[in-house]
Amino acid sequence: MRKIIFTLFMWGCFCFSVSGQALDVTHFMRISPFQHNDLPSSSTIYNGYVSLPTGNIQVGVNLGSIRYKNLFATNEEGYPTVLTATTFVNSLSDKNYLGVNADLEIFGIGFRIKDKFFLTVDHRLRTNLDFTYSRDVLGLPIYGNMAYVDEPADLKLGINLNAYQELGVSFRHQVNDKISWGVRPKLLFGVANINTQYLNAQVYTDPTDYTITMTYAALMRAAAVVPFTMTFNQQDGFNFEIDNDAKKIAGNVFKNVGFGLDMGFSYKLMESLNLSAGLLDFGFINWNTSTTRMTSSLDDDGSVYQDGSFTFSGLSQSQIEALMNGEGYEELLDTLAQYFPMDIAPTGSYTTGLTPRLVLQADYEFAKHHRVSAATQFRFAKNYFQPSLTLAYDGLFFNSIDVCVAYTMQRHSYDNLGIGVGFNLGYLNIYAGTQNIIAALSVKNVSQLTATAGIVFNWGHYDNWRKKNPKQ
Amino acid sequence: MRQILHSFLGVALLLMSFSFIGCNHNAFNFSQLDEIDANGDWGFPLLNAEYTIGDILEMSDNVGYLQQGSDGTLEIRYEYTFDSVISASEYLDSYIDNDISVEGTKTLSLGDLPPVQGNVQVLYKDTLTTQFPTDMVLLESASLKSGQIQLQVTYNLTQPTMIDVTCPQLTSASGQPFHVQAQSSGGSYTTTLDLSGYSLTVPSDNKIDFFMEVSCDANIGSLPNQLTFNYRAAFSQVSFSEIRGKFVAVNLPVDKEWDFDSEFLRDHISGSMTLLNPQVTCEILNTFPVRGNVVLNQAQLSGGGTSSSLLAYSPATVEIPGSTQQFVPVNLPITSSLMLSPNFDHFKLKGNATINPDGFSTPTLVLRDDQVISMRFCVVLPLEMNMDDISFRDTIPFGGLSLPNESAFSNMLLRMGLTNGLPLNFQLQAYFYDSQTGTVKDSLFTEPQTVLSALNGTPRFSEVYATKESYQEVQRMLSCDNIILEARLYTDGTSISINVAQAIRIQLGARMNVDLNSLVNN
Repeated sequence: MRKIIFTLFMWGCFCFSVSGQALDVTHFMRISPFQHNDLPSSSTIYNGYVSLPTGNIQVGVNLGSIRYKNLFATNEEGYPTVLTATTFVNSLSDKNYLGVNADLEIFGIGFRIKDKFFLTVDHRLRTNLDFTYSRDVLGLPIYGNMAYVDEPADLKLGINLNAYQELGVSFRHQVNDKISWGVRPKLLFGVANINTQYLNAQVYTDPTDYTITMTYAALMRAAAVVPFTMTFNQQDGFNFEIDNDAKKIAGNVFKNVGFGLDMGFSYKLMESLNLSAGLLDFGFINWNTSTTRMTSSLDDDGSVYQDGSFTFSGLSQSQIEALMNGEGYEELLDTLAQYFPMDIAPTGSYTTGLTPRLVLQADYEFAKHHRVSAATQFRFAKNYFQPSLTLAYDGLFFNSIDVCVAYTMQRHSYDNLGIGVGFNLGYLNIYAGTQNIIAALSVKNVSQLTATAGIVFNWGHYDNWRKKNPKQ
Repeated sequence: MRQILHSFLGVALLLMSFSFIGCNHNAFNFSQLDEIDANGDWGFPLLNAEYTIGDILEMSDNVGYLQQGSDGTLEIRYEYTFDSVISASEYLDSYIDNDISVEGTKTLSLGDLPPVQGNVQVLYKDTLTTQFPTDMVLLESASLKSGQIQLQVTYNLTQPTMIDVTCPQLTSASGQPFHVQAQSSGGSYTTTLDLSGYSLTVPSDNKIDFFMEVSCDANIGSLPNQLTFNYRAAFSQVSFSEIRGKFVAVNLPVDKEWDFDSEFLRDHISGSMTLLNPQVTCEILNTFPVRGNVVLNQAQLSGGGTSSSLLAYSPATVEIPGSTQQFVPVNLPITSSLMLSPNFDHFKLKGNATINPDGFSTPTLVLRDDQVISMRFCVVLPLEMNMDDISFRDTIPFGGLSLPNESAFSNMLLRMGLTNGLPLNFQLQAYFYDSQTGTVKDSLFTEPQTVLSALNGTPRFSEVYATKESYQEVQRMLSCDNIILEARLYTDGTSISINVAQAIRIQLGARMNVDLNSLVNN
């Protein structure tokens, strides 16, 4: 039995993949003690739990508009044989998203205080990568620049990578039979950050003479607890060095301080209908270690610069002469490169926000241990708004087996049928789930790959406790 | 209960296995992925440059005769100096017969001998007079650059004698009069003397007197009853470095020519044009102290079987002032228009020159052998012209140009925007020539493309396109090693002027479909 469970857990961790851009299926599983992660006012069925590093692991990739079937053509045996780049680009939206997240609860403990309060202390390691890109980023090299003669190719890239430790204290208060609320202040310690303020370019090609006009600007920042220096300038080129001194790294661990707040409110409208709202990851991190800034913008460095644009209408007479003399090719490239100066240098501290989420949820328990839920999450990623809607069924069988089925729709992703399974084995609670079981059956339609799993030690089933302590 | 749990776990495990299978499906085996489906439409500006006529001239080799005039007009300029069209060294000697001599025989009887003076018996004493002809020059003096005089005396006396010859008119470079004194025996005396550096003074009639005396010892013994002397004094190989005197007018033929470089025009241009304002300047350097003139019968450009005269009329007389220390311009009647053929590579000047046309009535002159008459011609042909049909043709090496993979490119479109500031219409065509097989494999344009001339000095824009639809066409094009560029040049019937500031702006761009698969995989 243990082997089976362990195998199940490992498959859950490594074969499934996961998501964090919509509510995870395990969020709806009552056997999980981590519902408060996405809704601090949620209750748990336990009187207490202890979570070790295997307690809650979430890994997810959201491919956004990317679909295997659009990217590859396969032969009869299913081997991909053609990279269908044009079809793929056609399938993209104007603005596209690629997200990766990984959450690991290193330690957590929660326990009920009397009947009305539940206190949780946890320490999590969280990583979020939001990568946005305009279709034209891929469309330009695939379609060619002459596809952009009516409108300029709009090249936009956005990267927001946050890796940080989260030390949170969650407090839930059951005000009365109808109302409960919860709040979780979080002390954050940044580990690494990369973010773009802007990384934009517009490329326009004149349909008559093919003159290429380009505007361009970039500002990126990065920081990490691992000391590094990264510099670049036209004269000295690129230089990147990492300092592996463990003492310095350790000394930096608590220097990128931030603060976050999760809060939630629940209202039992009827005996079987519960309404909840939560505001999550509202906060910031101030980055102070190895802060680096990369700036680049179009520079007025000669005749090709016109009215703030790089306008190349062909090689000039002198450039042609230089090329014909065999002396100008590298110089020409250098000359053109001078219009795009890039500067990477250490900078001062800076602050980045977390990616806040707003969750609205309704749960209807149509029979004992069987409920359906509808939840929307609005995720405010930088430069990209991510709404999602999840419809879920959760059933608890034999008071020990929790089965959850969830359907999630997101922008460009409407085929996410998730499943979660959990087992309460006395003091041990094992669960695993994925948000997209269809992906396992039809990989060509995958837009999300998610997995969540965990083993939690718990005690005191609340319902049983209530039965035994009806006066409290 | 346990069975239910096991059943549920079984179902869950099965579902998980699907995902496992899915993850490791052939779908993620990329070993057979070898094709990319992407065919982009690309357009690039290649060239955006303005070339003035001056720029083109600077880039061209061996066209030094195409130059910028003072007002910027492009002009063909040929310059040549005929050094020593007439050289005194060549004809100075012709004034004087340099092989003059005097000879004769004298017979004396013993009774005719003069009395003995001391121990010397003079046997023969006479003045020998020779004369330069007077029809060409009336000498006053001359300097001999070279020459010899041979003195020869024979007589019927075997005893030793003394020969003494003097000529006061001949003086050596050191100022000593010519004097020869020698002992002779055996009845003859012959000597040849070098006269280089001698000066000659001629009082009148071009005559030179030699005084000769033959004597012997008074105690020589018995003498023949009759003494016979044969004498001869002869100048030979005489040349003069300077002659002072009066001269007759001298006519000399002028027949000079030179070949000039016309390779660029000959190789690139066919047809002819009429230049409206040809300019020819003639400058003459005359170090003779006397004026002259040249009657020109021919001053013409020629080549390729045709010729064109620079003279407005023929014969044309050019007066030559005397004693010029440097080249001075002279008037030359020049034609108002000139048919110019690109094959012209030859200039010919033909006529007659007259030096000292007033002859003996001219006061005394001093002619030296370093005196010359040189002529410098500058033929300036501004490109102000009428032209009907001129064709330009150039072969440009094309080797080495290649695309990374021709099969990746199709629907190639070469677009050329030409803003023409020249007063010339063009019809352009380019041929791709394979010198290995000697064949033209393709042309750039389906038909020659027209580029309109500037209108009233305002540049006009023309746009021409060349298309190559398949990569085979591109391949065929790039396999050639030469491009033959042809342009028919024509005007709207008006006279035009080509100025070095006139420019043509060339905007060259290429558009093509690029098959990424071919580009990457081949």
